[in-house]
Amino acid sequence: MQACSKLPLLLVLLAAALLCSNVADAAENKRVLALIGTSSIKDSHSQFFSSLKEAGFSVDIKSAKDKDLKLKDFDTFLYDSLIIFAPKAAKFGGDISSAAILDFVDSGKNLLLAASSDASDAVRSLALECGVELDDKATTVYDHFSHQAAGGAADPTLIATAALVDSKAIFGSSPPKAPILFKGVAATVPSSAELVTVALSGEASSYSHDPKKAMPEPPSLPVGGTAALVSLVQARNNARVMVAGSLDMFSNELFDASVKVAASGAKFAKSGNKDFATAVALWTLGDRGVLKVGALSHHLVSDPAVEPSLYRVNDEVEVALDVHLVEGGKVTPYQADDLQVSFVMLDPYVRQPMTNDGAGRFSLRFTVPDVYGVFKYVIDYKHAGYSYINLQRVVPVRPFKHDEYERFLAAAWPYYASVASTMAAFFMLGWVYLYSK
Amino acid sequence: MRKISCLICLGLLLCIAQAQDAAEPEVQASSEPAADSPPKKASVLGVDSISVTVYAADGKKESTKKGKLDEALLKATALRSGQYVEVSFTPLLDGAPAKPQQAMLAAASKAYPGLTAYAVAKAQKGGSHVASLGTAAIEKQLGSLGGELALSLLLGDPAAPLGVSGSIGSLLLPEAATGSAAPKPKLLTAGHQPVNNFKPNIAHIFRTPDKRAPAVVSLAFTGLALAPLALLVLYLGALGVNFAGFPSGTAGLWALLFHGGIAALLGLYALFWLRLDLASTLPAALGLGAFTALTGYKALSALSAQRAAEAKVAAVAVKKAN
Repeated sequence: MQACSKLPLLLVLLAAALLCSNVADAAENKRVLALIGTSSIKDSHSQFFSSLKEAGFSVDIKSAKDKDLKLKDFDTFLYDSLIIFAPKAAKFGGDISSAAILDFVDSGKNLLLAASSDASDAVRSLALECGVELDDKATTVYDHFSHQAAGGAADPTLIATAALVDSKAIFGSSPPKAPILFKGVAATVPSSAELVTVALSGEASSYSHDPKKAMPEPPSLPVGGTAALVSLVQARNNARVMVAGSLDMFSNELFDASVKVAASGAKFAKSGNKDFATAVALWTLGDRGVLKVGALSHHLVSDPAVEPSLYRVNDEVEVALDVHLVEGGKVTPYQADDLQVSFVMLDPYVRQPMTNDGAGRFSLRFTVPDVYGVFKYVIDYKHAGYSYINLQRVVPVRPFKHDEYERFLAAAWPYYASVASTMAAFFMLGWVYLYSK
Repeated sequence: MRKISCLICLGLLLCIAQAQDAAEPEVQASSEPAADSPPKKASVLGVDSISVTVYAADGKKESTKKGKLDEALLKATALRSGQYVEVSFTPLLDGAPAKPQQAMLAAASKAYPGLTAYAVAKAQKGGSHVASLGTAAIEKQLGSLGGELALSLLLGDPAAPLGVSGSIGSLLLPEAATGSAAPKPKLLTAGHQPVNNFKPNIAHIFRTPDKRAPAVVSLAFTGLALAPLALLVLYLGALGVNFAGFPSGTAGLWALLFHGGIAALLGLYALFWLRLDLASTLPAALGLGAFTALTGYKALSALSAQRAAEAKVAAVAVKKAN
């Protein structure tokens, strides 16, 4: 009888203990599912996975063909980011279909996709859906000038490139100094793509080619800088996708390799692969370059305490926004001078950059235009490497009231004089008429 | 138990010994061929003489130059719209004509480092290769780009460990029609891609207020408007106006109140114009009006009574005198 009464209590305590351990394991936004094509990748790419773990991410490494793979449990996502290191996988196991992966990204979650020269159609179409077009099947990136020559190697497909994007958001203040070794497939990103940043390009002498086919003419041929080796996509909902043309660039072998560039002979003790891969992966997983934005506030300059529900034409107003940068869990004020705010009614009437006070507060003072109607504040901020800021706030603008116009104009003095003289004459004549003899 | 363990140990030792025996002859065998064969000599790419021809838009040859790689064959040669340059050369692998995997022309912009246009060379019958690059092809890759482009030849093949590159000279493209706008290449590169979506600033231009006549005109007409009043005062003065008929006693008091009421009403009109609204003015006007009407009635009736009495006295006096 005593045991029966204690059992429910024991069960509750056990459940609580298990729950606590689960919560402690997976910190907010840091659950990562890594799908690998072959089991050897877990060991051959161990340095990459451990660098993610060092940054506080909990990485679940599973086979891409695992039948129990699940991204969602009914409506709750089980992971915040997905790494696909399975370039040859024609399809993925469990509940993970291409549609499920795209739904994952549409919900604001992140994706790291590694391709290769023999990438499957599934991986190619996934990259294309994310805005990055990989070059045709069986093409590889060649570079006969800037390739790895350490230890007498002469493989033109293992290229060494230092053509990185200049971005403080992705690399911080110390970008990788050594060239990055790459062996895989190139992609092309058209200049009309607003959401894609090319993180790593080939050197000017590189090109993408399938030896069994004829070489097309540029611009169809990814050649030189247009061969995008690692592309970073940030969707409009701030979900991030990285498409890398090589799985080998994340391997321990290339992380630890020393580099000798064939043409110039420059020697580097260690390749820049580890620094580059870690920086780009942490950016994609949402550890760097994330902007946190407060609410847009506005008020009349003459009355800062109140947020008016409407303006009058020619009012002096101030609009302000708080923006902070989150990097590795640390929140610092965002510094930028290109954050523009527009005051729009069909077309923008005012579009000016906001001034930054250094503590994360961006503000702008301006005069409301002398046109009345329903206006809105619009902030549409895109800076490569940082989250997008999209804010809108409607503020109607009313015209002058009847008693807000100018009075006592100089042009009216004759009229005032005539009225006054009539009144004075009437008063005087009253006296004169009654009492004059 | 002990016997079995001894047997197992012996078996293991035998296996190890066998493995060592098997390994040794292999090691001995493999070292000999390595020592005997000489190291493979690396293939070297090269290029024979180069011929550069400038063509006009209609295909007519304009000029030809022959020379070697790294000789500045094109010295800032200006290309007009539609013109193109054809470079023909024979690539060599270890001295013999060959078809290298990479045979390209690269035109690198000097003003915008990182923007390069390329042209792939096509093999002709007889071993020579021809590559042509013109303003149309450059525009297709780099958009509207002006200025000097450094032209070079790139040759590479997996058979040779290192490629061959050399300068052919430079081309001069006409400056872009749009002037200072940055060129928009067809494909993004890591070094040349938009950083932000900063748009041109817009500041609202307020409507200029209507032009008004100078204040002098106003003052002049104010003077004109006040002139009749001045003339009236002068005329009354000339007529010899006096206030002798002002009543005395109670009638005088009523008269003062009456005129005071009129003055108060006129003051109320002025206050309404300056400060008040209709809601506060109308009750006051009603009140003052009633007061003025009452005192006026009293004043005028007292005045007329006084005048009537005076007239009677005057009439009696006249009758008496007569």
